[in-house]
Amino acid sequence: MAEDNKNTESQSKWYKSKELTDYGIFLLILVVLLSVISLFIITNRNTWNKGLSEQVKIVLEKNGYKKVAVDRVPLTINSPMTTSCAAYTVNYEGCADNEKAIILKVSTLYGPVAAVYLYHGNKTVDFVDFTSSERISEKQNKDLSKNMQINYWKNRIPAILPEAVENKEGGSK
Amino acid sequence: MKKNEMYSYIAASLAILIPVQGRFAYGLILIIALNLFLIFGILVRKLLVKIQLQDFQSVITAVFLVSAAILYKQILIFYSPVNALVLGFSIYMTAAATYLTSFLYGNTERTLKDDIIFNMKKSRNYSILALVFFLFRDIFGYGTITFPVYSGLKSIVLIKSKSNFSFGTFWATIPGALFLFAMLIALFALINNKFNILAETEESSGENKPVEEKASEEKKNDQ
Repeated sequence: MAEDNKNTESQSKWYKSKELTDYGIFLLILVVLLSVISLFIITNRNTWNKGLSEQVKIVLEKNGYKKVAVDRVPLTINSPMTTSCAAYTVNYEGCADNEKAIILKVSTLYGPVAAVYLYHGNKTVDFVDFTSSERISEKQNKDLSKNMQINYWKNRIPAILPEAVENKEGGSK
Repeated sequence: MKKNEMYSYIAASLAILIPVQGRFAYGLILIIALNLFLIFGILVRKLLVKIQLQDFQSVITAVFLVSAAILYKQILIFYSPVNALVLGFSIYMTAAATYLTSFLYGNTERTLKDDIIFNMKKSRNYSILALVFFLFRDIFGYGTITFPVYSGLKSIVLIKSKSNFSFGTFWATIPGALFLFAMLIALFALINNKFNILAETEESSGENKPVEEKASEEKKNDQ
């Protein structure tokens, strides 16, 4: 009887230590996964800003703007509801001081597309182009979206860029 | 295919296939994501069985799938920031679709290898269908086949159109995608129905064989 009690006690100790080991491994896997994700997020900030600023430059040059220079340091967007966009200070031939370009995702009848706008200050915004607009469908999309989606963002951009401040950690994903 | 599975595939398709632009490049990105999330979800499910946390399986699997989606989006940002901007939330919808279509919230007694093979076979058929769906929209809606690159999309132009209006552009729109999807479901339902009728006919013909044939079969079996 005493021996049986000892056996059951040692078995329950073994089960508990096994459970602890299993939970420990699970926690370790969680920590490793979160670390990998954090590492990617931190290292990808530059890639995100560089890639989108290059895209802004390409779109502006394609639409006739000359000597375009886009600052790779992004501006802070003042809106928690605005996702998937980035704003940069831009210079081109004949531009005024403190002009900004913003690239953001616009939902259209043809699906979501990336669009580039120019903010001249004093709540003046011009739509430049979609990032991809060679095909007929894309041209039709631009025509169809003019009254609604494109104009919506033309009115919205001054509200989300009112006090744009250069910030090395800006740009929302 | 069972009805439950059919409904979950319809829901998954509405989340992945319809709200995205009809470019083959985006289809490629999302279908690769779907299959990677599937393998990841199966591995997580096996891990939870091993450490006896099956009670929390549905929640933990969902959390891990979202983590996988975040990681995939970061990898996509590294590969192509513009495409990551355009796809945005669709990657998280793909994770949700994986959870639905693979029944990752349920239990299975298959081994890990058998589970992966079984689910990948199902996913293969759906992936091919989805890629064909995107390819159709890209070719007939835009006249191109596109592939994802760092600067956005690499297009191979197949149809050069000189006019300013083209009827094919309907397939590039969201309503066009819905219409195409509805046609595919109708076609699939028709084919599935025919196969079911054939199967039922074969079963019933097996039961109603004449007595002489049954006797001759029995003699052959005895020999």
